[in-house]
Amino acid sequence: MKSHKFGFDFALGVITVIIGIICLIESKRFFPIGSSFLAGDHALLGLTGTAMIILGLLLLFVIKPKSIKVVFPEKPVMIRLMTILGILSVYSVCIKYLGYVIPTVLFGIPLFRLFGGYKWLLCVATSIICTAGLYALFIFGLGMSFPRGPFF
Amino acid sequence: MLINGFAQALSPVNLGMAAIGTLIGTLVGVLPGLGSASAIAILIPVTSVLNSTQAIIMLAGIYYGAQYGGSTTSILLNIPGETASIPTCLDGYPMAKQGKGGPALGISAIGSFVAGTLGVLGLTFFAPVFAEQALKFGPPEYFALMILSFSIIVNFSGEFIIKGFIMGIFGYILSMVGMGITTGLPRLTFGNIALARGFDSIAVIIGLFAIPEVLKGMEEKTVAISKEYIGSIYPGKQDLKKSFWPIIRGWAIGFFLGLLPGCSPVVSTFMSYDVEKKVSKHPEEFGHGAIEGVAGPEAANNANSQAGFIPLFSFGIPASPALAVLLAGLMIYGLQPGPMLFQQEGSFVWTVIASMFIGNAMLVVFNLPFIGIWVRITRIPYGILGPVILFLCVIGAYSSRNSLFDVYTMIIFGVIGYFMQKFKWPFVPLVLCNILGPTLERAWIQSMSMSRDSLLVFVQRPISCGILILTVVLIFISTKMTRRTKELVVDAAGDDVRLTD
Repeated sequence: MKSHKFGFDFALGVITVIIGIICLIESKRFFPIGSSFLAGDHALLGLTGTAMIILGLLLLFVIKPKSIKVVFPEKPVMIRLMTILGILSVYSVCIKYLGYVIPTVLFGIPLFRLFGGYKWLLCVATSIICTAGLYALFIFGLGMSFPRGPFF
Repeated sequence: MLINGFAQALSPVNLGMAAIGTLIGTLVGVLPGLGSASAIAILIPVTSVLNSTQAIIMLAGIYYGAQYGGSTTSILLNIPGETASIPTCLDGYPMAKQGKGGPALGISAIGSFVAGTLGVLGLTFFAPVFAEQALKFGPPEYFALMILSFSIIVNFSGEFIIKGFIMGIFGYILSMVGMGITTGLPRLTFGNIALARGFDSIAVIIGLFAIPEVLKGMEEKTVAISKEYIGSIYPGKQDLKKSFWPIIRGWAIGFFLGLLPGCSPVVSTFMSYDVEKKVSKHPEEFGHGAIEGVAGPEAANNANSQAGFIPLFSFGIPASPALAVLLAGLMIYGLQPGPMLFQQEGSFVWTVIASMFIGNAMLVVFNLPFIGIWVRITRIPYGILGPVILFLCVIGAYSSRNSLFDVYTMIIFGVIGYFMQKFKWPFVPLVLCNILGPTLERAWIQSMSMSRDSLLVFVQRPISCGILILTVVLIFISTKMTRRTKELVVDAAGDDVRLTD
């Protein structure tokens, strides 16, 4: 595993200030329609926006958190992790168009392969069994509704 | 009320829910990749087919079942499920290596059961005290309670309190996305229709807790439990005799600290271990298989988790991430935690408390004789478990509002949570404030409306003023206890472990 030092805290400090500014802008939009100065949808939005700006500036310029060891996995593992997240994202989009069952079987295959390194045939079988089990428990057993595809 | 609670809890359906909850909880505790917070978050939408009492009984069962499952891996594998379980590793694992893992597990279960039983008696005494005050609470008091809740960010932030506050306020801002409370107009949506419904707390929680755990499971090797560490599962007479007073002391420490809003279980377990070592006639045995070192902390852990339900139900203040998720579950079921819960839903509260006693008994009955089965289950390869957990996460995120937007939310927060964990930013404050944000804002707006924008309303009313003073005192006490606990954690587990881990 490699160690990395990175300006993560700095980046989050900047993001914190930006979020604070956005909140203040939105608070200004709601201020005219608030019921009073401190009561309305603008009030705590403005207070939290101000707090975020102050905390963000403190983090950027005043408080220096002590340096910590950040360990990311090796490149091949990192690529697998990113691939898994990518597959999960595409799977979520496909559910909308193909329903729950078909994408779960299809995307389960590369997931089992990435997690366990199993042979493709075993991944296919495991994916089908897993999907069948989840379908039986949640959709058939508990009656939960999931998007339906062209076939089921 | 407790007797009625038992009558309800002993109904076949509620008994079944307690059994399912404890079994799932133990499974979650034993297996890597899914903590109790994630499991509760995933199952909250699934429990929509049940009524609120059955659902909360099951979810509570998962919570304390996971603690027992976590103590199994602490004792047999030297892998604590959470920082609070580290003291159990210190003597539990040496006992396992000596072939006495069974008695260690047995004492852990018995200690938890005794502490749980005493905890129910303690709850019976303290709960009505809070219930009596319920009618005196108005919007300023509720606002003060929410401020008290936010003060426990100190406990969840570890060393960098400023990061905890940033995450907490960010969580609160996330809760404001959607429709404004007073105007009903879209707020922080930037014209996006999907954002008009806001971010679902469950999807955020699953993303922050479960996805990083699954990814972490890919990075780390998992170890199966070896049966030769277990031996006979029942502790002997000598073990029981040595464990008696540590269990009682552990219960006292865990229970009374658990009543303090936001007091983390970590503080209780380490304090109990510290006390047992100090009062022992053979302190040199600690760290080498002293059964007192297992009995005390395990009793403290269970007592703390029981007592933690009182500030949760009474004030809506969770002491741990899993209880924060349970709080989300209560609100989803329309049960507003707070003083009125005891008044308006007394039957529900006492049924859940009674079921916790029954659940503790089930843990002893189910887990000890079936330890061999739990051991075999740990041999399920992570290559199978990982994708299954991911699919469960998708189901949990989707079924909350039947919305794919929530699945996308889960994935985005999963990525955020992964990097937060890597760079040691605490995300529990984000979850807590996201859940409590709407209640805080409503209480604020009502308070300002009734006082005509006067901030003095919070100090002019005695209960509200008292809660704000208590907040300051608790922040002070929490900071001191966290510092002391951190020293004990570093002594036990080294510099790399953090209280937020």
